[in-house]
Amino acid sequence: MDDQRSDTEVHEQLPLTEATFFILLSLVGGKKHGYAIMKDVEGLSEGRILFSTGTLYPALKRMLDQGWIKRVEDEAEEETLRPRKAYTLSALGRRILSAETRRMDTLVTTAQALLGVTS
Amino acid sequence: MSPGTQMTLRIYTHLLRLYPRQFRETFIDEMQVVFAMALQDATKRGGFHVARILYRELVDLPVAVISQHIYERRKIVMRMVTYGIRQDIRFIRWGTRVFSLMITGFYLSINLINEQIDYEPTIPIIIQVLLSISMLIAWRWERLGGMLTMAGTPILLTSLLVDNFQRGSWIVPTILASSAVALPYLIIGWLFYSLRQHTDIARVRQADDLEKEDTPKRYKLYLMMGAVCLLIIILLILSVTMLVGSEIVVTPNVIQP
Repeated sequence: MDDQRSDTEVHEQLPLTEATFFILLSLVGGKKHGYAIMKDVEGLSEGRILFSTGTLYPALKRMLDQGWIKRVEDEAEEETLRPRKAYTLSALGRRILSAETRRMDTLVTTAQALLGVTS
Repeated sequence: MSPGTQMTLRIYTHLLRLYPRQFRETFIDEMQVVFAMALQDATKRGGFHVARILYRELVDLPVAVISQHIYERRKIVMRMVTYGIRQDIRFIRWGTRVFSLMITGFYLSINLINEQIDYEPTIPIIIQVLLSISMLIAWRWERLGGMLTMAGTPILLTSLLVDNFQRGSWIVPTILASSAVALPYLIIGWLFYSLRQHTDIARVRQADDLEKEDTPKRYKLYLMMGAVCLLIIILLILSVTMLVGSEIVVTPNVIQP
């Protein structure tokens, strides 16, 4: 399904919310379970985005439904030996993230040029 | 785990029941584990962090529950719409096939009548036979059959015009009659081709793609089918009328004064 999305369809998903962007970004490094995503996003956003389970999991569900991320089995929990679910970025999710990054980069470059500000 | 933490986890588990069933079945275990981990971490850091976690969960819960119910509801509606579109496509597909048989049968019977009065098969008749075959191909390979039929239509029209003008037919009736013969093939070919495109779109587009509105396309399909049916009926009536016209012997291929 990833390969069937055209560039136009990818760009129609933009702009992403900050929370969505950071969730996708946190998965770039590899698969993570829900709590790891929460902590990672908190770190990446320098404490600005603090997820509760009520905000994280609906967001994860939407991204799963859209095919941006995939749900995979992780190693079993130590105490209960229950397999943990982890999430990983799909090819489509990576395309979406890259497109959003390019979009923001263009915005920043344009703004910097107009304002005469350098990074 | 302290009694307070256990009580908090029990309350949290009960609150999770507010979420839609499908969401609960997928995530309830995970959410319980993650909440427990977050609570455990916060407990180690102090009461303020515990209060912060609980506050965040309580504040976000009503909005999360309501928005998730709305989201699941919209998914169901979109699935019904997409299912409805697929039903429409199926209906239009069979309608197109029936029309292709009608066109083929109609012109075939006229050609058989002409055979009975010693009428020799001409190039237009041969092209018509080929177009009928391409329409039958479209039953299985819609895009290919549709394209072949559409591509053959101008050839048929040209051959009809040339054939009739060579026989000295009148210009305007020849053009009208030739168009009346050729146009149904073009329309049927285009329908078959469009059906394949719409089927591919319906297959690729997810039912829960909430950003796309499929309802307008559905009415567009109805409108398209209705207009095409009307046009084909008019063209058939025109052809039949010209065939049984009082002092003119009319065939789909020849109009003789």
